[in-house]
Amino acid sequence: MNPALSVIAFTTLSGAGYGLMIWLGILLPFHRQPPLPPQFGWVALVLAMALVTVGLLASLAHLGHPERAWRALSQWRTSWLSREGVAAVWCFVPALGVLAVLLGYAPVGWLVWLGPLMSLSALITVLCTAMIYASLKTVPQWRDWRVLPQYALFALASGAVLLLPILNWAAPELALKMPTTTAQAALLIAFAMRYWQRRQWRDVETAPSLAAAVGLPGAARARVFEGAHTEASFITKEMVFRFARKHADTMFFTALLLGAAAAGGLLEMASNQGSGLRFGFAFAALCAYAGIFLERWLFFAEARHVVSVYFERR
Amino acid sequence: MTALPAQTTKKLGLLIDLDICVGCHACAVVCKEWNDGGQFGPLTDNDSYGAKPAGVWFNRVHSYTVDPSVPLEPLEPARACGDKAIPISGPAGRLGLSLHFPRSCLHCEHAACVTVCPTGASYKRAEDGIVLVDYDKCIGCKLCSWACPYGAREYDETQGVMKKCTLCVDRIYNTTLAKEDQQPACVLACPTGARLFGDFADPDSVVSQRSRERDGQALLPELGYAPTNRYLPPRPRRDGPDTPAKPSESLDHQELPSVLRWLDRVLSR
Repeated sequence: MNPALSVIAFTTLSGAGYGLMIWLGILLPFHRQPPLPPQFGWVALVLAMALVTVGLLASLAHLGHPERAWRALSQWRTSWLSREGVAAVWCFVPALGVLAVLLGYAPVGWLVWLGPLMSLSALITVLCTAMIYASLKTVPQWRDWRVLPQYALFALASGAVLLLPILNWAAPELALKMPTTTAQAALLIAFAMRYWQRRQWRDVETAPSLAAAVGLPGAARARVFEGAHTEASFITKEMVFRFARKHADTMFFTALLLGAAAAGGLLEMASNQGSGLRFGFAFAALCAYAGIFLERWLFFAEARHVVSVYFERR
Repeated sequence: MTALPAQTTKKLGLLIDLDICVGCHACAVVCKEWNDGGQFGPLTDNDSYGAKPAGVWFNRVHSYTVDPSVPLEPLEPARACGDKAIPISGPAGRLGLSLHFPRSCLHCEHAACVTVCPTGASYKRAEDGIVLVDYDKCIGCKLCSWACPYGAREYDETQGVMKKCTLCVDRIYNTTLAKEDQQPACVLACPTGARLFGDFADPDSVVSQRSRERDGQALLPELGYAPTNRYLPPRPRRDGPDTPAKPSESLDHQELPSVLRWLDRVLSR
């Protein structure tokens, strides 16, 4: 599949925003000791909402008719894309509610239900995004049970990593051991799961044979003799995206290096420094995002659509 | 509404005979021509005479070769009716078979391109099963093209919407056309008669009968989209060595008129 920048930006940025919301929805009402500084909550939440909004705007950018995007909220009965749209819009309701509490416009007691509601809504939105891909029978690599937990884990990991520089800025005196371990674990589990999935799919022949795809008996062998068109078509540009496995492995290794190793190491160093403003947290967040961005690029680029079988010269 | 109709009254579709398709692309070209004009046109082209021409087509014809060295097994029961072997190719060393494969929308019964549509722009008609796009509602998200394993949907860069074969819905019900012209343009244009249009829900229709007789194949049935269109596989080919035509013809002198008999005698000298 063609790795479109708008879709990668959307899934990673809004994923980070929703991940942040999931953590905040639990942390803000239920965290007791040490007390969180007052400005932490609303700054983090505004950042989460900004990331989600930028992500959603990026997803609108790849539409042929962005002005008609409101129509996409109508078909939630059958379409995961529509469900995602509805969930994404709904998610702003509890998020604005939490923000109202944090800014003093609503009773503090409401946080106990508004927070978890925001977490749940954000999680559902991320899972709807994952289902858009996991429901496509035409892309076997995506029709894998691991795609759903992977999207949730990458959202949680990027949210946890983002939380740290904000916490550090709001309360420089805290060492942040516990949230650091959480972020490291989330990153490690997410990338490990992705590694496992990639390993399993790399040698699997996902497509039917060309002969079977044109209705010839099973053992027949057919190959491309002359293409249907001399230039690229929409189908070949969008669906028949291939690049060398050698490069894919290098890219995935880079993603692991940035997203798991570098980010995890920087977090470790920053949390060990004890107290004070530590830029290691911010650099860790940048590294993690770069790693997740690369991973998401590969998620699309390595996925092989069934229609490729009609085009590929083997 | 992107929910699929539980059942359609008719199942209009195409029966494409891969045995006699010669790969002339007339169906693709006439499709482009008709749909540039009719109710659903135009199918835009970009950079038509430039270095990288691109455009929307509803119908594309691929050309393949079938490897002659593989001995073919009989069709599996799941893929065909009966247990006839279809020896598509002869023994090794002989020429392979060229196979021309026109690819267009198969108007699936379980059309995933319709159910994934977030706007309701894609729909399947309950009366005849034709899958259409409402170009005024489509937001151009392209997800339907991802959901289609047959590559039937193409995005129109100029108009920002997804386009697909309409089964010439603006011809088949068009009573201003002569009765025999109320068929998809590709069917009328095919010089070998490799394309037939009809109702697959009616077991007595020509397309249903022909499909039964020759093991009409639904493409990629394992994906579960239940395409309406059927493809007829190539007929059995001769399997023995070719017997060359006799080099000399026999001419019966007694049956020729006298003038020709004289001419034959003169020329044979």
